[in-house]
Amino acid sequence: MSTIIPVKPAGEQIPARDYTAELLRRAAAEETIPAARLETVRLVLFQKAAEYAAAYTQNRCSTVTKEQAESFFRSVFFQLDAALLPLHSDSAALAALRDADISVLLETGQRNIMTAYEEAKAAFRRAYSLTKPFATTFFRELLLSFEKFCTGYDARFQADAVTLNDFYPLLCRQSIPVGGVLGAHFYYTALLHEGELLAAFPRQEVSAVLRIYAKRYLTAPDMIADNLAELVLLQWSGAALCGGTALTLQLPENAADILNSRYQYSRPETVCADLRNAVSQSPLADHSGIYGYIYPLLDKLAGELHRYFSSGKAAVILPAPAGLP
Amino acid sequence: MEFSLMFSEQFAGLALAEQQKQILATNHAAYGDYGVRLSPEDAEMIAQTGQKAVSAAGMVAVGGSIVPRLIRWFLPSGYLTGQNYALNVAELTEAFYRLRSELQDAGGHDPALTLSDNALLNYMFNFYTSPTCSGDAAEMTAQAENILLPVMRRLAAGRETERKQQTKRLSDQPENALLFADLIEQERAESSFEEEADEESYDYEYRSAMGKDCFGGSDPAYQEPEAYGTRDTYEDRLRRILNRNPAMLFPSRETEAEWADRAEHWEDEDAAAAKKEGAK
Repeated sequence: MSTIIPVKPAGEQIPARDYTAELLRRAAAEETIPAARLETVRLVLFQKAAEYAAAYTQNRCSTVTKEQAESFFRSVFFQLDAALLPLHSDSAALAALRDADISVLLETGQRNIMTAYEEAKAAFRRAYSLTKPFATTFFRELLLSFEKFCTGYDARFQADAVTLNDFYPLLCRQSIPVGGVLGAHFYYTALLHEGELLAAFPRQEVSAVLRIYAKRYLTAPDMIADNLAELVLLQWSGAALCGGTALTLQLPENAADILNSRYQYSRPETVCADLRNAVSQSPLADHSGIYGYIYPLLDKLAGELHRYFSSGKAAVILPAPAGLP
Repeated sequence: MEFSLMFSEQFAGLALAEQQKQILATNHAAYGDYGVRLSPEDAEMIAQTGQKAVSAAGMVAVGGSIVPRLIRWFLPSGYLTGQNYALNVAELTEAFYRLRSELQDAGGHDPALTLSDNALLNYMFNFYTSPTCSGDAAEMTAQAENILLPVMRRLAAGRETERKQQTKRLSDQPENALLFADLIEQERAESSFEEEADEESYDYEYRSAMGKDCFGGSDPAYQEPEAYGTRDTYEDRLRRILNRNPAMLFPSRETEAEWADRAEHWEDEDAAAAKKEGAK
């Protein structure tokens, strides 16, 4: 489920959005690719975009609008993005642009786009089934958006145009680092891991946490607008930082006091280290999908927890601070 | 070197000199059959007018220039004569791109509602040669805007309504239908193949019947309420046809294929003439 991972490794300079365009722009400015080669690349890309334009009008029309022409051009660039991003290295991508046959790169990109598209669909279907027992009304909108994605996506003429209804936030409010179908792949795969996280805990406990949380904020459980996995992870983090490692959301009665007193004068790094330690020792570490997904986010989560712990407000951040009935 | 991502100059189709050459290649037919010809300066002026018109309409040319085909299409009109030949061609070129842009806007840039170049040229020719316009490009544009644009808007509104109904239907769908919508669509597409073929044949019969109805067929039953149909102007007849069925705005596949063959034949002729000229 992770053939295409559009997340840039740390230390890479160029953002994943509009990757190829930025790469070429820099290569031109820094002269890391010879001017003649850049011209060849440009001509191949224009030729491909012109082919798309002709195919779009079925050779019946000699003009397209500027917006349509731009869209074909973005599609071609997006195919290159899809070929270069999985190399996971700016220098490797640059080398590919310098030495590889651009047509071959475009073909690879097309294949990667289709793989990402199929994987994204499979990911959402699985994510939906895992999250269904707790799904809020927002999942209905996700479902409608998914229907459009799986029937209306145009990989040839508008490869980068995927409108995700991202009003359902991801864990730790992650932003989607890349556009198009790769962004959809990222979003739906993230939802899948969050679904797996929810399914890793006893269903009744998850429901109870959501019910208590909704009651505290005077709403119904199906109207919770927060990320469900985040609520569960916060609750579990509370339990874990109090010393528990089992997959239960049950907190000690005085959990808030314990956490406030333990971390009130500590640094965020301490909370993060303790949390990482707890996750590594918990059964969550056995689920490679969940572990790989949440581990890089623990830093952010710990920072959020520390913000409340340090001001003595652990009870505010824990969804069900008094424990479960 | 700056890696420019500006596409328009690349997408601008053929270079001016190449367009000029193509325009001049129509001289053999224009002079041979109608006694008119363009000078290189005329050709340059027309090519520039075309480029400006494309740019003003917010469009990008993806194929060759429309001008040679437009000239060949309009030569039999009888209005491309004498000293105003170049000026008339330039006006028609400008009108073509203006109408093309307006029609695309009216059609909501929906690829299914794109009138082909040939179809647009045919409408322009019919307006241009009708007694109402009598070779007046401005009047032709006005007539085309009056008649074609509302129909295109009507078609676009129809499709928009369909889309809204589809969205409404969608929101009532059970979740499995949404979750596996692509698979359901594929299955339906395969199973309905036969029905679609039937529908196409029905469309063709319907078109024929409408054509007979509006242009005076042999069946007197059709002619009865439209006894004066053949005495109307082209604009009146077209308006009536399109009011009855806006989808008639688009020509049949057979007509499109016929036009495409004709355009190809002209291009071959022009290319041969240009080659001959070059050899001299």
